[in-house]
Amino acid sequence: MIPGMDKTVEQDEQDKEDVVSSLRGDEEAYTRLLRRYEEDIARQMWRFTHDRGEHEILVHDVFVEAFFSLPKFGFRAPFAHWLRRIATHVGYGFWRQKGRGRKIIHLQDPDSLAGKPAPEKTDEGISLFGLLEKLNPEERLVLTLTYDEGLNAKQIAERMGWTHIMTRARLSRARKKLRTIAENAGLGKELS
Amino acid sequence: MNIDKQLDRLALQERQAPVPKTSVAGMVLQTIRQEQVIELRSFNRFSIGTAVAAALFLVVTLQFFSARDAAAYEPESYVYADLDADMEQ
Repeated sequence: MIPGMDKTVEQDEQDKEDVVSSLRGDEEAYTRLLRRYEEDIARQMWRFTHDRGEHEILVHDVFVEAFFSLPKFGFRAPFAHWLRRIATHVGYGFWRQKGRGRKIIHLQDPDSLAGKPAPEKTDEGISLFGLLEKLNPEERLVLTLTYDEGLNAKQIAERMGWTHIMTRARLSRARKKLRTIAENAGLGKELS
Repeated sequence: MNIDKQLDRLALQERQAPVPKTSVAGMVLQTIRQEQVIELRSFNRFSIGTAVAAALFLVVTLQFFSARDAAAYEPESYVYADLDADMEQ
C-alpha cells in the first residue's frame, strides 16, 4: 500500500464524482481534487528537487498535466494512483531536461569520482538525495522509487511503462553505482 | 553496518523529513484557463483554414469545368467525325 494515500472507498467515490464534474468543466470539482492530493503530490515531488521554487512548479505541472489527461482517465485504478503515475513522469521529465549537458558518472570509470565534490550533506551527514543526484535520470528514478516509495522492479516497470527485464537491469546497475558513490563519499567510514 | 543498511537508514531519514507546503490551486486554474484559450484559438484557426481551403477548392473546380469548351462534350461532334471518316473511306 502506498503511504499517505490510503483512500477509503467513500473517498474513491468522491474522486470519481469530482473527476466526472471536472470533465464537464466544473472548476470547483477540480479544485477539490487538487486540494485533496496537493500534500501527497508535494511530498512526492520533493524527491525530485529540493529547490522550493522548482518544487512548487513541479507540483503545479502535475495538476495541469492531470487536468488535460482527465479524458484518458478510465476509472480502472484509483485516482490517487493515476495521479501519482503522472507525478512520476513529470518528475522524471524534469530530471531528464535538467540533466542534459550535465556530466554523468559511468560505472566503467569509477576513477571519475575521485576529486569530485562530496554529495549534498545535511546536518546529520550525507543525504540520499545528494548521493542520487550523481546518477543519470533513469538510475536515479529507479532508486528513488525503490527507497522512497518502496516499489519493486515489477511495480516500477508498470508505473513507467518499461519492460520488467529492462527495469531490473537498470535497478541492478544503479545499485552498483550508488554503492561506489557512497563509498567515495565516505559513507562506509562514517558509520562503521 | 554494511553500506546497504546505511543507505536504507538514509532513505528512512529522508522519508521522515519535513516537506515544504505548497499552494498551487490558483496558479493551476489560471494555467488551465490560459491553455484552454490557446487550444480554442488554434481550433478556430484550423476551422477557418479548413473552410477557406474548401471554398477555394470549390471555386477553382467550378471555374475549371465552366472554362472548358462545352462543345467538346456534345455527342454530335464525335459522332459526325466518325461518320465523316467512314464516308471518306
